[in-house]
Amino acid sequence: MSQIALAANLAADAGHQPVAEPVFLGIDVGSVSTNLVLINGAGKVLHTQYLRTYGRPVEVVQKGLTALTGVLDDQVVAGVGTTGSARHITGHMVRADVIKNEITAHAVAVAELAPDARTIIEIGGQDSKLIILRNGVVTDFAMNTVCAAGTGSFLDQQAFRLGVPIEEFGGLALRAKNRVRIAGRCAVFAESDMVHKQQLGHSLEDIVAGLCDALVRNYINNIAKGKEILGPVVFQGGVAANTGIRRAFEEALQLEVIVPPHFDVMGAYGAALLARVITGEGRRKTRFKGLQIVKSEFKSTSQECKGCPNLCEIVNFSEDGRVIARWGDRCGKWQAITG
Amino acid sequence: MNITFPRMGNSYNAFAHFINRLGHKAVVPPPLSDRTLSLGVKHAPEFACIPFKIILGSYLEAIEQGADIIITSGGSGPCRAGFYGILHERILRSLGYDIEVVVFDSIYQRPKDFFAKANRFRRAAGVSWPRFFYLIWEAWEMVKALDELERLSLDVRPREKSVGATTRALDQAYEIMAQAETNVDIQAARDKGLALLRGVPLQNKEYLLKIGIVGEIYVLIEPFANLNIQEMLGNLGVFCDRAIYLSGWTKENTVADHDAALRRTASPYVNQMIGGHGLENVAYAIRYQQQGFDGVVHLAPFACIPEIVVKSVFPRVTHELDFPVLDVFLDELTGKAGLQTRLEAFVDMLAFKRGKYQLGGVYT
Amino acid sequence: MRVGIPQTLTYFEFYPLYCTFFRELGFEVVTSGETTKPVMDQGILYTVTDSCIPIKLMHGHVAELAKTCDAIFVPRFVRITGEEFETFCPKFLGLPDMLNASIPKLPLLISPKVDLYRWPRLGLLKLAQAVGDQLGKKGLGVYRALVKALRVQTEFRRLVSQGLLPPEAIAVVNKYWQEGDSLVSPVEAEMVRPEAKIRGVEAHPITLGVVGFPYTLYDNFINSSLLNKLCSLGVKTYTPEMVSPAKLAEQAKGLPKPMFWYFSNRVYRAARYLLVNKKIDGLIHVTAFGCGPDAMADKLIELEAKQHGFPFMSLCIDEHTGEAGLNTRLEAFVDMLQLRKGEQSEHNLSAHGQFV
Ligand code: SF4
Ligand code: SF4
Repeated sequence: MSQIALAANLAADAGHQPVAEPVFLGIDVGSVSTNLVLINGAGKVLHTQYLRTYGRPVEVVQKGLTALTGVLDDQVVAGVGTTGSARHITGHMVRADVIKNEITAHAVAVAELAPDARTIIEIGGQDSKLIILRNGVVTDFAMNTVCAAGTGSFLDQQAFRLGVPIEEFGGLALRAKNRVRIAGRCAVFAESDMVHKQQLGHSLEDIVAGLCDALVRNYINNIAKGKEILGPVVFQGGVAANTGIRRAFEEALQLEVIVPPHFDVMGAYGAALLARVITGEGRRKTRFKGLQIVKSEFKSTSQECKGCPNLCEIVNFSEDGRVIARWGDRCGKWQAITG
Repeated sequence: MNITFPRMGNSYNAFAHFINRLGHKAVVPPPLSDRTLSLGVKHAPEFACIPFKIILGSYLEAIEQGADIIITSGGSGPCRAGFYGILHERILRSLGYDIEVVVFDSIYQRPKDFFAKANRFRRAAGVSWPRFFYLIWEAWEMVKALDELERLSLDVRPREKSVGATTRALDQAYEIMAQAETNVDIQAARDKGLALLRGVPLQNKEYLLKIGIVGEIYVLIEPFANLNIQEMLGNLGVFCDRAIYLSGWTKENTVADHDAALRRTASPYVNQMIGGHGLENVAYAIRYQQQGFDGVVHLAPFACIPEIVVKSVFPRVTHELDFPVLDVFLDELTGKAGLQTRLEAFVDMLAFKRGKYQLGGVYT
Repeated sequence: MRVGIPQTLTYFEFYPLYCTFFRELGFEVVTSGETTKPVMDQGILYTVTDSCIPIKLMHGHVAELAKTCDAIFVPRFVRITGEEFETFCPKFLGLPDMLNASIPKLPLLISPKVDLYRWPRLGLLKLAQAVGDQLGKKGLGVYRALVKALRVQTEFRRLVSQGLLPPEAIAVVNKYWQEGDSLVSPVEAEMVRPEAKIRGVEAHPITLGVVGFPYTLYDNFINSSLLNKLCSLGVKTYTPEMVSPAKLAEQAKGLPKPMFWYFSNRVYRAARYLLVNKKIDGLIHVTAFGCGPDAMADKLIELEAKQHGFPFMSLCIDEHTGEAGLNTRLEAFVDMLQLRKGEQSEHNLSAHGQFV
């Protein structure tokens, strides 16, 4: 999307008005996607962005912020929160008011939108999570560690193999008559079994539905094992767009599964909410550097410290040649010196 | 003899001390690194646990540094660790190294074997038995002193003013300890080290939370294996108490029927010694709950047999005692970033539970 | 009252004993049947992810029995031999605890602790009493049931020593129970069953040692009928159960100290016996995915086979072991052995270039 189009889109979102009230920005930088969400003081979502990370978190955040310039005045950004696997580097980059892990961010978002939810299923591009809430408080959680078979990338791969656009997956699955059973704990096995079933001549719909079941089964066997899943169940993350998966969950859990609005940017939404908690209503002045950072040049370099036998690899993160953060040292002596 | 041994936590100082004082040459395995791990992974069976792999890699590095004999401890199982030495030796030999692994089994269970092996090192060094035992005692004093330093660091770190100050002080304290010769030196080094740690400037009076760490002994004690979890937790403002130290320094140790008491505590969940510290870990977790800790982190190598049994009973413990447990199973693929996220989320969760943390409250 | 016995783990070793004992006490005895896909799926659902596949199967079998039984027999095996440090894998030691924590709505678990190291006979008696007490049976009846059970067990062992695979020997025992003949004295004719016959014939092109735990070797579902497949390839197989206890004990000398696990020691010793005495053309070690002891034993056996100059293959069994993949590997291994053997007889040369 061109910058102009985005700006227009943003203005449209905000009701054709240039944004004037204080807003809170949430940035979720994951390995696959990067999301930005703007909310106002009342928690209303004014704008969302869903971008691909392509392994370059800094650039993609700059790109996302660029789309905001021209529409937003720096002055109105009252707080910024970051989350996702690149939350720390992004936090340093924009000087966030709050840097939070994804689990908490997602839980906060759900607690706002669906206060009585007791289970959150989150499936993104490369990771999946289960969060158990009781009375709006996280009481247990689990994340996938290595296996890809319970994540979105698994579906992407299989859709590619089958030559079906991923957007059509859900619709196809719902049309299945005799869903085939696709075995496999991990992506590799499931793939070979799928190919086998294809050779046996099963219909595309049945295979697609089988894949949805397989993903759900893997999720339940790996991530949800031993956890008490009670309704209301909220399903979010990029994969929640897939109606086939949603139905498979409903059948496997025997519970209704709710997909909230903004399901694909809930992490960023939670980060924005957290920022609001910290800086809202004038509690604290934001540390945010301002949108001009889209023009800065950020760079990471690393060096080996020979200060002791640990030989830590020190990462220097610099903005326009000035080191703004360092990490990687065990002893903390490097973290302390930033320019 | 150029003697090496498995590197585990801070204990290498004491082992090296003992070997050198005996009159042999200690080859301290280089600090564990990614290279160590990949060497181990390359030559170990795929499904061996991570301690086996790290130690194998570390032996290979020590051999590069000139070690020609390895001493290690054995055990009577049924955890695999008791068999490491024998298999390590066979693997090293099959790689063409002419190396011997001398496995010391429990002095109580196989006394004859123990003394025969000990005698070999004693005779070669030409020291008397009394002197030999004196040196063992002295090394033991060092093990205890090292553990005492580490324990204090756990208390200081969550409250330090500038990140890393505690770690720096601790490293310095180890450094001083490494210079010690006699027992008098050891005690002096200990006092100096403790003073150094007490001198770390603090910002908070209180910890945010208290978390107990239980699990398999090697990954518990060796920071490289657990991705420095103690420091990660400390930096999150959490006081963590570790259930197991090499010196066995636990408050409970002063109780005479230590083992029986542990067995009683664990019995509703695990009613049988299952090797390693399996049963003990269940008991430790329950004790942490009784002592008012907020939760427990359970650390274990992937596919560790006793700890899998423990992992399967922990949900019941959590459920019945309302006491959260975070299972962290480690292998060569475990990444620090993922662990960091899980720890942060766990800490948030416990803080919420405590009511210590309203959204955006105490810390960010 | 109905007592359930899971058809896995020690089933292949002691089922005749279990079954006779409970029947003689007047209980109905059922097994969970052979492993099936639903049984496995159930097991996977209940067990912690990183557990080994046999323990997952065990959970599945127990969950299956939980549906219909009033009690399930899952003894806690600690020691059953005269070796002080030979115990069982920690998962055997903690098995009842794992099951209790993981499977909801379990009926009564009969899980006495089996430690026969010091006083085997007395230990057995006490064990029988403990089980009897738990089920409200007392006195001489319990003792009689035990004696009978031991007799049937001895019969079973004899059948196995004559070359029947444990499931075949169990079938013989079952047959006698079904026909209402409470005294087991299987006739030799029983042994002339087709599979047994094939194994008995001398003129096999290839003889293989196939070592592994009884619960992986004899569970046709989880290993995709490995032994039958070898049989149909014309291969004669030796499994650890076919090596006499005395011969196994001799092989303990292969290690400076024995391993801690009963089943692994047996596997290692059987492998070593077959290698040292050159009974075989090659060796297959069937390992269980996620098994801790196997990670150790497999390497030891591999090094042992290398040292004795025998071809070795390690086959890892898990929930995905597809038949196709297994067939390919087995066929390739057998072909390779055949070629090697052919070469040897032609040139009188071994693959290692030494005169035989
Ligand atoms: S950063 Fe600190 S701990 Fe790391 S190698 Fe340098 S001096 Fe050692
Ligand atoms: S011996 Fe191996 S396969 Fe058997 S229960 Fe133990 S870990 Fe599982």
